[in-house]
Amino acid sequence: MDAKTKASINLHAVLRNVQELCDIDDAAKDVVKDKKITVKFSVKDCEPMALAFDSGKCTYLRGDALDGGAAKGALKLYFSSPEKFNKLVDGEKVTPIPSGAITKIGFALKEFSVLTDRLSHYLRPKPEEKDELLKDARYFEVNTTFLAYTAFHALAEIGNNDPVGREIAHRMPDGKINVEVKDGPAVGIAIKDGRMSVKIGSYENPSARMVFGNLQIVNDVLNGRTDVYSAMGAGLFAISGLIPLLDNMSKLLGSVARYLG
Amino acid sequence: MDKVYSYTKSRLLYNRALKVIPTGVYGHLGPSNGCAIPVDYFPIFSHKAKGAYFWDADGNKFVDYMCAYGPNILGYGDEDVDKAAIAQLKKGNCVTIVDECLVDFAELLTDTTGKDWAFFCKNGGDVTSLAVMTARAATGRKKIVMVKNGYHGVAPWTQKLGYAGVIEEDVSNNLCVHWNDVGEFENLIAKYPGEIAAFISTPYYHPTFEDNVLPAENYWKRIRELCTRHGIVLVIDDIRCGFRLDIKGSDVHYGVKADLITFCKAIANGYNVSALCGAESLKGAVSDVFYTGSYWLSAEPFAAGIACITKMKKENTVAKLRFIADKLHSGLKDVAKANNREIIITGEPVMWYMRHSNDENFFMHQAWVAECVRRGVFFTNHHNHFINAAVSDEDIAFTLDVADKAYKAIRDRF
Repeated sequence: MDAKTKASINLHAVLRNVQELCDIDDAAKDVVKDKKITVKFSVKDCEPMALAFDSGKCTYLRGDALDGGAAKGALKLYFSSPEKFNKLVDGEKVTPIPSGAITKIGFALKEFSVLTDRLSHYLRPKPEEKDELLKDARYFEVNTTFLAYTAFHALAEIGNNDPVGREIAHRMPDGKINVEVKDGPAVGIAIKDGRMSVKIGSYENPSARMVFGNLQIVNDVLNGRTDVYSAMGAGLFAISGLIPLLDNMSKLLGSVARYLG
Repeated sequence: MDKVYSYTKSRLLYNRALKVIPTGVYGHLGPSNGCAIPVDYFPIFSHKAKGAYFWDADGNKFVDYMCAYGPNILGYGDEDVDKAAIAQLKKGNCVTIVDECLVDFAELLTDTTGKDWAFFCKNGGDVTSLAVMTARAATGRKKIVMVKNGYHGVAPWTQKLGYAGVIEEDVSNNLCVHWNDVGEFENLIAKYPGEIAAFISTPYYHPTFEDNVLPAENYWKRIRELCTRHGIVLVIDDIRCGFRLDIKGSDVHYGVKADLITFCKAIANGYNVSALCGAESLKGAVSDVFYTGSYWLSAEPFAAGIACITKMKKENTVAKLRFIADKLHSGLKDVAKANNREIIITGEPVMWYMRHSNDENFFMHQAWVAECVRRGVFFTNHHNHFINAAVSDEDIAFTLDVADKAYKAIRDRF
């Protein structure tokens, strides 16, 4: 497993979910309701990201959005290696190098920990609680939606960073993929010149579509309870359009569990 | 009346299959790799086949333009081929020592193709791998040059890094060039002097999801010259095209002589046998390769192959296939035009690939193909098609009528 890829996944697929978490989780909403702070995460060799909290909302920033000054005055947390950052996400004690608005370090130590705990509640429920939690329809919906957001953002990081993933991504024709759940959430995946990006929501004119019948099927596929080929044959999800895009995407999706498992 | 099929029994069988067979039906005949889009418009299980048709488990009849992805060339259940195979089956099939018809088949095949020897296996991938091993044994070199997006089977060396079960070492000696680009091959020869064992390619470019492309003028001549000059074994992978373009092999069709050529699919009209044929200079090398399989020397497919090749020669099947294909394509283009569509047909006519213009992501084409399938004309949306000699004028007329109905069925959606 490539440490840089895993760190990129932790930054841009796992932690980025804090943005949606603050919209749907009461405990998270409560934590951020009066906060105005931006926390920037920089990991050596990885593309940085920031989470900007303002008026009860959280905005995930990367690339141009980050470079444009949105992270000015941020609390900056620097990790000297991808491995160290990955250890932190895995729950080990790692101390980053803070800079910028270091007077707000308390937010990272206290409130941000609450947010990551809430995220874990949805993404990685405790084994002894998981079955009971999943019986709750609302929890099931949020859990599956976060799993899907994480998995599809992760596959883009694998396509952009992992040595084998990059080969797969470079075989993909340029285009846009919509992964949709009937009457449910959607993600849009774009590929251009072998670089992948993901957005929440679908594209208007996609090159290919993957449409799941319901969230249960998404949950089954992402948890490995059914493989994509069997699920497709059984009509549990439908594909159409530029199939080489979907074929290669499913190969990347197959690597996600290795990184997130 | 515009009636469409339903597939209740196929579905029930598929649900049973999912419990005991990975993906229900794996490989290119399955709904996933076979691009059944949408999946409920396609049959999954066959019940019987005869001539140009198969009937599915629900009793629906299809004019079949995939021909089992190539093996069906004379028509399913050709009486002459079946008669020879059944007679051999009664006489002896899988025996401790090999039946004499092995020699008859090898003589017929070498005589037909102008090669010096024949080595029989079961599937196309068996003989493409044997070709690569033979080239390496003969040259003592590791590297193989292949055409990007070319297909040579499913052995690990034929796949790509990132595919499940394929490791870097499996593909580390593969070098790729673009189709029709002789300059790229020259560059590789310069970059890896004395390291390239073989150049392997299909006779023309027939990938999935792409227009098929014939060889440019002098392409094969120049590749042949480069291989000869640099001691590189020229392997033509004729698994898919073999006996459809030229009874002597597709290297002959394109005016070149391969060092090694692979055959399968149409060689025995559906009986399971493949062959690597080659030049005398490589007979020693292939003899040194340890290569065998439990059923590779079974006699029934040899008898079928003898009957099939004999009949194809006698009836000039190659010309017949071309005549049928041209008639079909002309009709399909007319029907498309009458419906304000343009169908694009590429590749060799007897193995044509088709798509529609102004439909770069295939959404409309996939819908049209699906509507054809559920009205009894079996096309695919991703792969080249195949013609067989049993297709009649009535079948073509039926096909064109279905094609027209399919255009009308999608008219409001696209």
